[in-house]
Amino acid sequence: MATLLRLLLVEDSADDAELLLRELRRAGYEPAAERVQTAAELQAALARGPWDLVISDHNLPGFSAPEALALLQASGVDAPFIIVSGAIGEETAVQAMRAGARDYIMKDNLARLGPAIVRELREVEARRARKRTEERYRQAQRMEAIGRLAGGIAHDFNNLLTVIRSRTQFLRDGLAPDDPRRGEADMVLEAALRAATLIRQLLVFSRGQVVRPTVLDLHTVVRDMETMLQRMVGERIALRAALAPAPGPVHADQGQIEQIIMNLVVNARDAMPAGGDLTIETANVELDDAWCRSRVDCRPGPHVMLSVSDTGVGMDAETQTHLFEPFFTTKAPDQGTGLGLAVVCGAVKQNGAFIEVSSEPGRGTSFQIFFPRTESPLPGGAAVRPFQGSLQGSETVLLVEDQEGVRFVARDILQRRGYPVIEATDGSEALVILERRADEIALVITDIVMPNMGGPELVRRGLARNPRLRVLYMSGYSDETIDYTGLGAAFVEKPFSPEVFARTVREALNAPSPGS
Amino acid sequence: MDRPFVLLVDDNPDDVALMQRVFNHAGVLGPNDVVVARDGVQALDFLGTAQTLPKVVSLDLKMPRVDGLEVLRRMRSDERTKLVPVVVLTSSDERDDLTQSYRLGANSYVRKPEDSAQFADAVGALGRYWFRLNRVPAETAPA
Repeated sequence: MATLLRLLLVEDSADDAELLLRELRRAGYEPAAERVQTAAELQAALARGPWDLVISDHNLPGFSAPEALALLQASGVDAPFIIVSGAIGEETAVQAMRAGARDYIMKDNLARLGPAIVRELREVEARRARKRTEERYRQAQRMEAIGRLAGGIAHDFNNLLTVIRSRTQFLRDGLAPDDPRRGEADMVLEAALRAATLIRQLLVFSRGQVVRPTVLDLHTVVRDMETMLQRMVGERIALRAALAPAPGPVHADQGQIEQIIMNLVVNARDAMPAGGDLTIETANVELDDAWCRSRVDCRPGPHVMLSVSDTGVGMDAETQTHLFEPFFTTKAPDQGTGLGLAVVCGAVKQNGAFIEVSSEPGRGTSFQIFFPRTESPLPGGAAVRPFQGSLQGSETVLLVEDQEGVRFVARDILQRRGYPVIEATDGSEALVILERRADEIALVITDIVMPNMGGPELVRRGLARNPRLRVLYMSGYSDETIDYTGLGAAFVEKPFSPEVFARTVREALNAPSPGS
Repeated sequence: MDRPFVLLVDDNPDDVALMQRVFNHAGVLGPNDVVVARDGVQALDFLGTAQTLPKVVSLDLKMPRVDGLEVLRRMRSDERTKLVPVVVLTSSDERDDLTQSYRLGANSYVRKPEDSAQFADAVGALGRYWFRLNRVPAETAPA
């Protein structure tokens, strides 16, 4: 099959042009050519691009190949420039090549033209691929930097919000039921909750949220969400799930996967205001070396692909470059926070996957996410359910937290529920207490990131001395993945409400101790 | 016009399966008329972005991440979901939960019966009430 060649021809002789086109067809190309003879015509044509190739005669009345080349370079159009001319001196040819012409071909030796074009187009393709790869890495670095910044801010905000939420709740609970100030306290709580939601999204983006991966079947996850998704998109959009009958299992956090799907589906819906088709697809795929080489975060091997595609308005290249940045949005100010795709991006990375997007204005958009397939089998049995009984307790708790505000709040919540509390400001202090009062302490509640000694290190050393030690981590941020499941440890996310905190503590105490 | 549906917010898959079965058998709701959210976060994400709102929300209280009371508080302070009826359906035995739920704007509070036959009866009655007998406010309330 002939290859389409978008050719810009700088040539004053119609006969020569025809000869040239015939030669190109013979070489297996189907030229879509435009012939120009002056600088003005060339400039106008370049602006109309895109072009695969420019072929120029050397001398035209009032115009020349060097001038044409200069115009091409000034225009920024990335197309090889080949001179096809009658006999001229070797020196002229060398000069032209030095200026940036890719080849020089005599009109009486046109057979050389075909191979020269093949070579040039291949080089252009290689150059563009290199540029795309560089662009992807640059983009990845920028996202990394924004992510670190966002994660740092979120960490501090979570500590502050923990104090604001719990203290306001205490204040409110202390007021008489008909006290009008209850309403004001509710408004503070409401604002704190909204802030917590925003922070949670930022944390997902910066990959600072603690993930709880399990072995999952994406097919089941999507199936279970289908009814919900159809209701989210409404009746004007046809939701279709093209699911692989048996996709391999993946190791991922179910909550985050659901969030990824929901966010992509909402975006797809908003891209189709007049309705259209929305397809969710899963498939087993093998990624090879060549495909992965030009992509950040891609490792060859078996993957499960999850894609969400729409037939909506699509995006231009500029929009695609900023797509995953937090607070970048193409929606009206009241219609989106600009965090949807940032959240998707963070969640994808945190689950060891990577994401590809393909889109063209007017042609719809498709997001593809590739999860490494895991060898582990799917788990059976039901998940642990929240405790429903009384939240009171009398066991002694060791509370380890360097942020005073958070520590005091946690202490007050525990004491109100009847627990005796011993406090420590970091891991090393806690370790000393653990050694002296080992028999007394029923549960260690610890922050993860602390000066001197962090939570995981404290737990590791504590468990070495007492394998039956019960542990509850509390954090709103973590830059390392903690395998708390293996340690039998529980986890509570900051900023917590007094009720959730008390319940998690009760659950941790009721759970069988790790060493038993 | 989208068909009316119920949003079940419950982290217990057994309870959810039972409720879906009961709705189906009672003939009040088909499988596509029951949307399930596994916890409070998912429920709020759904309510915040859904094209159409549920006719009624059945809300469990004790759930991981964001619990039922928080979902209720958020729903009542959001103009969009302020008027959506909420039935708290919980196995919580904390006395405070009932008063808290009504204070935050629940329309009804039902303790999940321990016995699954009784539970099924209660769910069936709920379904019939909200999808056969009750015609307000979802269909008549001003937008």
